[in-house]
Amino acid sequence: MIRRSLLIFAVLVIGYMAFVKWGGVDWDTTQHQSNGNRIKAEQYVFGEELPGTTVIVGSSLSFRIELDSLPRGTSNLGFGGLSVYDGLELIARSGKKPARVLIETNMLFKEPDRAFLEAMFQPGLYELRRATPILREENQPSGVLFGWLKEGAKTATGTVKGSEDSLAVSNMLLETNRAIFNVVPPDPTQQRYLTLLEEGVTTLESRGIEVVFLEVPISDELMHSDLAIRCRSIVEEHFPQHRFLRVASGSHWLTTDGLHLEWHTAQRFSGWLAAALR
Amino acid sequence: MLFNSVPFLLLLLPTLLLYYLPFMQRLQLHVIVASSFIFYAYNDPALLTLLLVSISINIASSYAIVFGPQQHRKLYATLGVVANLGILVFFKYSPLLGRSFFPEGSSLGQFLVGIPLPVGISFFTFQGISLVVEAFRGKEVQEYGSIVVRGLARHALRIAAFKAFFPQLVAGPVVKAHEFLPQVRTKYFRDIPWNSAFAALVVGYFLKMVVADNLKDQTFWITFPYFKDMHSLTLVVLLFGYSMQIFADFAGYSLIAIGLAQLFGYLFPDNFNFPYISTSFAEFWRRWHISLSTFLREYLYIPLGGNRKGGFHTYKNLMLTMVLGGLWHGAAWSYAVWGFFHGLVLVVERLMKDFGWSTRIRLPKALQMLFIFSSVTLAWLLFKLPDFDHVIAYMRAIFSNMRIGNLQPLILFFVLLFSIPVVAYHLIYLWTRTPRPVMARIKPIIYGIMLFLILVNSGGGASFIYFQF
Repeated sequence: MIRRSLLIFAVLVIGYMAFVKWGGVDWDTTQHQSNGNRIKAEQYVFGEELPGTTVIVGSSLSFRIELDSLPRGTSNLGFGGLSVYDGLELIARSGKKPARVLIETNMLFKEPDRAFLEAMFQPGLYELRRATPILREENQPSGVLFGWLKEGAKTATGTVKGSEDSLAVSNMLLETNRAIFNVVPPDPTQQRYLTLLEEGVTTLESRGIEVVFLEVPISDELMHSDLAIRCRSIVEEHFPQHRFLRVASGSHWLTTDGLHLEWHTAQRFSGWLAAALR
Repeated sequence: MLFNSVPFLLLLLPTLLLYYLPFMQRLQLHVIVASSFIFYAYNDPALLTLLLVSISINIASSYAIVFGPQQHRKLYATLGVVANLGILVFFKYSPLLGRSFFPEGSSLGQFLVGIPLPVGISFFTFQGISLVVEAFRGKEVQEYGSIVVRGLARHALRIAAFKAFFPQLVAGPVVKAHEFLPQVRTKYFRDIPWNSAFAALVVGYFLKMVVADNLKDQTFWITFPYFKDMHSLTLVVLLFGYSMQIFADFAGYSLIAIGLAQLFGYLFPDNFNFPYISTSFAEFWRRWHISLSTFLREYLYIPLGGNRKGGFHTYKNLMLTMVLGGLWHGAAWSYAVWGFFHGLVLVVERLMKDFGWSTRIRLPKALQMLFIFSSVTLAWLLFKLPDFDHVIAYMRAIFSNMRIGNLQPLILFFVLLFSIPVVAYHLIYLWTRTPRPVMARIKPIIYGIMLFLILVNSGGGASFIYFQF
């Protein structure tokens, strides 16, 4: 039984390798947030780097920035549930050298997720994934199947991203975010994050990479919250020589929960960002 | 150290090699003990001290019971059980006691809340209790007679191997002394039951890495307040998915443990026997976490009097056993409520049987299975949401969130997709209860597919749910 099982296993592996190589899977295979983060990270780390590229590092706020509007080769390392520090470390560990890195400033006081990076760069498995694309997260059969069904449904119904429901604000999450943005961490905690940020910026600049700060618009109310003001002032006080891209307040950016841009608004902001980077 | 990690493979392979080297045959138990200590100490070496203390207590008490002054046998047994329970209560329940009975901010309360929970403590202390009790009962039960051997050093080595044996050290099954120790003898490579070990390992790793770990990323949404706005159907499907996940996680771990033990020449009894096909709660507990159920029956329910006195005493003993069994799972009152729920339904079931109602009310088998499965699944909510307010909020959301825009098709798709293997696992078992020769031909295909999916479709690595217990 064991021998026959292994034979079938080998046939499946070879067949799937061929499918991944020549099957033309070009649809989104994301299954959930952490899987989406991993796919993005792997695409960045294992992908080819074009000269003069820009990389955005941030949280789920940057996640919604549409790359279609930005210059070709721009990568978005805005990870849902993670922090800017994860993106910064990913760039450092990958050995890649983009021309410019945009650092999101909205969530500077968010802890890096060591487990994410450890899983990503696990010795042995990392090299294996680099060499064997079927082991990468984006090629998981379940995600490929879901993406294929989704594509099919989209073709059949002509549905596009951003339904009416995306305009509905989740009051429950808005309340939660209000509570979070009303609290500024104590000074020692702020100092700890500032040190992390300074280290990240120094590492990038020592490799000749330009650093630009970026504030992603959130709801007008939260933009004037204590936490948002503090994050902004940290950048202005400690990195006065750096470019800091911010939208004018009062532009009525629509969000789904006070924090995350609604799809059409994210498109608008992506267009604004493309113009600002030119 | 996780069974599905690279460091574990790096420990397992040299251990197996050393274990079966001809000139190492006399040192097989030494190899098991050394590897098990490395396995346990890998993430936190300080924890090894506690394991060593626990092993020492059990070596001393079991040896004294059999070879010490016979007039003190009972005293040694009592001391052994109390010491095991003391360790468990101190490390596992101090935080709960601190939170429940001491004012917030009091120094003693803070001290109790700060006591860490060593991984696997619930499992290895229960094994210790089984050793002490079986050593004590060795004279009356023939099966237990060979548990303690003469020669303290030899006994100590056997007990260290029994308690620390890494396949079952941190999350069971709760292997009793009489199930393990009589198997201690020289093992030979040629005796490994390859087919059975292969099947257990493949199914175990598949259930854990493909089913449970992928479901975990979807059932994450059963977290307050994220579920509050979700559609009723999504909430029901998520709960269904959690039921599948907890089975796949724990049954998967148990199968890996059974398969690994077989590689070392030890046979562990089954820990799960297709529990979701149960047609009664009593049957469910004969099929779910069997090693714990039998432990609770042998070491708690029967000593309490079991059903010997009949009527009220039986119901009381059942309730007590299930509430304590619930608390064994975790130091939070919600686990006691979960145990209370299971105790209550067992009592009701027994009452119906005692009064002959169960023969009068007969549902079709499929409906009985559905009812038991739904009830058990609903009760898992207490595992996932230890805060009662959140449990109530979840139930309220199930009955009130009908807004179609909140349906979350992505969650529905993946929960149902990754639940298919667990449903199929149970259905295949039902189907093959009458012999199906075709299965012999299909099995290699199923194992081949499972191996393939382990390689290419494993979820984000995570601890096993039962590690926390």
